[in-house]
Formats: sequence, C-alpha cells, structure tokens
Amino acid sequence: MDTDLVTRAQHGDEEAFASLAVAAGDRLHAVAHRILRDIELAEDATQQALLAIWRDLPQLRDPARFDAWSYRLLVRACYNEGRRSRRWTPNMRLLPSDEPMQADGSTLVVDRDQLERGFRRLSIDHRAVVVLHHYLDMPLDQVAETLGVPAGTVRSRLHHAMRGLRAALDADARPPAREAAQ
Amino acid sequence: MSTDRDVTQSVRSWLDEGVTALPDRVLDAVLDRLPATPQRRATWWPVRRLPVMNTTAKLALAAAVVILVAFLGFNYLQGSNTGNPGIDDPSPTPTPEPQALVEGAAGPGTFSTTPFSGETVRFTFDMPAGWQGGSEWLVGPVSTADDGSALLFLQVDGLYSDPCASAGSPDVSVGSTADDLAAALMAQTAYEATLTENLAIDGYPTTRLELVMPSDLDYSGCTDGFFRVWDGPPGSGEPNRWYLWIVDVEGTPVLLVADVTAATAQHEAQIDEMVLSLQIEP
Repeated sequence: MDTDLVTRAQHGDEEAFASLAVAAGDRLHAVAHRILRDIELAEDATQQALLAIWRDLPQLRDPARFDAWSYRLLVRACYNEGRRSRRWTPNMRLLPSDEPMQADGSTLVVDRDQLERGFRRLSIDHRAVVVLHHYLDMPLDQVAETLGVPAGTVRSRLHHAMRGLRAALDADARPPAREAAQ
Repeated sequence: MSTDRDVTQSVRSWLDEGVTALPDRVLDAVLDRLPATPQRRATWWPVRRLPVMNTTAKLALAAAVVILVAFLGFNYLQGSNTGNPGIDDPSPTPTPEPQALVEGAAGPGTFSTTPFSGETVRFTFDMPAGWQGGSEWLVGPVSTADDGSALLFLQVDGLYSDPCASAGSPDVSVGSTADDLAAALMAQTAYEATLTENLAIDGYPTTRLELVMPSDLDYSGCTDGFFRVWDGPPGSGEPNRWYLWIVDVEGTPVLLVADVTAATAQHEAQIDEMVLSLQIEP
C-alpha cells in the first residue's frame, strides 16, 4: 500500500482516498463475501467499511499498517451486517455457482455444499478467523492483532471452527444408517 | 474420516472460489458520500503547549484583556441607548448542513438519505440522541440491547399471501399507488392490520397503519423461521408489532416502517418525532 496516499487521505484528500479505495476495494469485498456468504450483504459491508475507513483514517497512527487496520474495520462492518441480517434479512442466499463444475468430481461439489452449510452455522467471530487465516494466509498472531483479541482466543476460535467444518464434511461421508447396517 | 490436512485443504480451495471484484456502483456510492462524511480528527495528536510567560508579559496580557472588556462594554451600552447595532444583535444563525445517514452516524443531529437505489427521493430528518444510522435505510437505538426498535425506509414490490411461506417471490400485487399499497396491506388476513390515522408528512398525504403479527403461530415452521409480510426487512421471528407510514410522494408510494416490538414508550415517541420531522424531496 502506498503510504503517501494514506497520509494524503488522512489529511482529507478525496482523490488520494479514491485511489486507496480502488486499490483496497476488491480485497475487502472478497473477504466480506467469504465471511458473510451473501453478495448483497458483502457489498453493504464493504461500503460501510470504506466509509468508516475514510471517517477514521486520521486516527491511524502508522500509515504502513493501513491494510491490517482496514481489515479490522471490515470485520466490524461484517459483524454489523451479520447481526442485522439475522433479524431483518434472514434469507441468506447461497453463493452463485459461477465457478466451473469439476469434470472429475461430484465429491468436490458435495464438499462445497457441506462446507457451505457448516460455515453458515459458525458465528461471524469464527468465520472471520477462518477467512483471515486460511484465505488471506495471515499468521494467527496477526489475526489476533487485526481482530483486537488475544492470540489464545484466535487459536480457540480456529480450532472450534475447523472442528465444525470437519464434522460437516464427515457427516456427508458417513453412509446412511441402513446402508451401514448391511 | 477426514484428516486435519484434508479439511484444511478443502477449506482453502473452497475459500478461493467465488467473486472478488467490488462492483463499480458500490465504489461510486462510497466516493459520492465522502463530501458529506466528515473525518474524525485524531485524539492522540499532541496538545500544543502555550509558552511559559514572564511576569511582564502576564501584566501586558491582563491589561489588554481589561481594555478589550471595557471597549466591548462601552459598545454594548451605546448600542442599547441609541438603537445602533450592538454586539448582541441577533444575526441569522446558519442552518447546519444535514449529515449523511450512514452506519454509525449518531444523533442528535439532522441527517439526510437517499435510501432507494436508482431513485432520487431524499429524506431529511432530526435524529435524537441515543439513536444511530444502521445503513442508509435504517435507524436504530445505539444500544444493541434494544434490537426490535428501529425505523426503516423501504419500497415494497409485493406482499406474501402467506408470510410464513416466503421461499419464492411475493405473490400479492401492491398496485402502483400509496392507496393501493395500503389497501393490499389491510386486505391481508395473516396478521392484524389497523388503519390508525390519515395525516400529512411534509405536506405529502400519508396513511398510518399498525400491524400486529400473530401470537399463536409456530414461527419455527415458517420459511427460514421468519414471518415476512413482504420481500425484505423486517422479518419477524416472534409476534412483532410494526407501525407503517405509507407516504404518497407525487404518486410514488414510500413506506416507513417502525419496528416497535421492543420499543419503550420513549422510543415510540422518538420514532414519531423523527417521522414527523421528515422533509421529503422527490
């Protein structure tokens, strides 16, 4: 990230912020989409996060930490969207399957469905840890710093989240009771 | 049974799928709002220290203050005696520009919003202390413990004949006018609807309804566990109570919904005040 752009935006330069938003918009949206599993909610969360970034940018002490700081505001926006969606927009849509189907494997498709269901059962707290660590490849101590929680909490959340996802995958792999009895 | 490594690989490849690009319209909406979104200045900036003054400087400053006070007092007295303008003469107070209603925008203050995508209808209203924006179409109490108390700006394309079965698109037409929408809402039998008042908001004809969701329904049997009168928020997971204002804005029906399920009497009064303070620009 261009720290000069960050510094200019901190002083109210809207053009500099526009450049920052263009550069950061896709990665923020990608993360929001993976946490919330809903395109419209992700767009709303990204929009809210970008406005919060603009509003609070003068409070960022170290411009070099812009990326990590922006993820913190994004995750906060995802919490808000997720909380709101539970009450007001309960119809979370499945992600569109615009990815090409794997020619070799119905198993992959089944895994995807199981993971989708398993992931939706997780809280936003747990989803955020999984996405920051496994999608962004953030080390756990950096995830902790980004979310503003102790490293132990992050490890615990990741452990429980992965256990839930594993259970979702294994549930599908398990044969139906009658089949297993034969 | 999957190994930890299998699960991690599956999760990582699954997370790699899906969209990444932020639509231009979202970015444009953000940039459009910048001028109306003030930046919060840092509180950690060092406080500028005043230089230490010597005794002479202190005396000089005290003398200057005495002279200034005497001058202003003389001016004031002269003004009251002769009718000339004095320093206390009223001058027009500049009206503060409304702030943009965005998430986290906190009252008290005057806020404006254009909540409907593709439309230019603009609402300006006074938000009391203790309330904040949830988005450009939602206002709620600051305390999350007050969930179930909110004001929403909505447009409704159709109603569900059975709000408990909302898997598909709404199947009841709401017509094209505010009267049509009010009639369609009143005709539903899945909940209790009462027309409570006909009024005007900022000069626009308005119908106020009260909806009470059934209390004897097992909501867990509804689609997603929600009872949904139309396609959009709010959705009800328990017997809810909503106030509706259907405003006829030059032929276009606009719906204001207050979820008052958990609202205190003070919240209800504040919601009424916000609605009645509305200025609407088509």
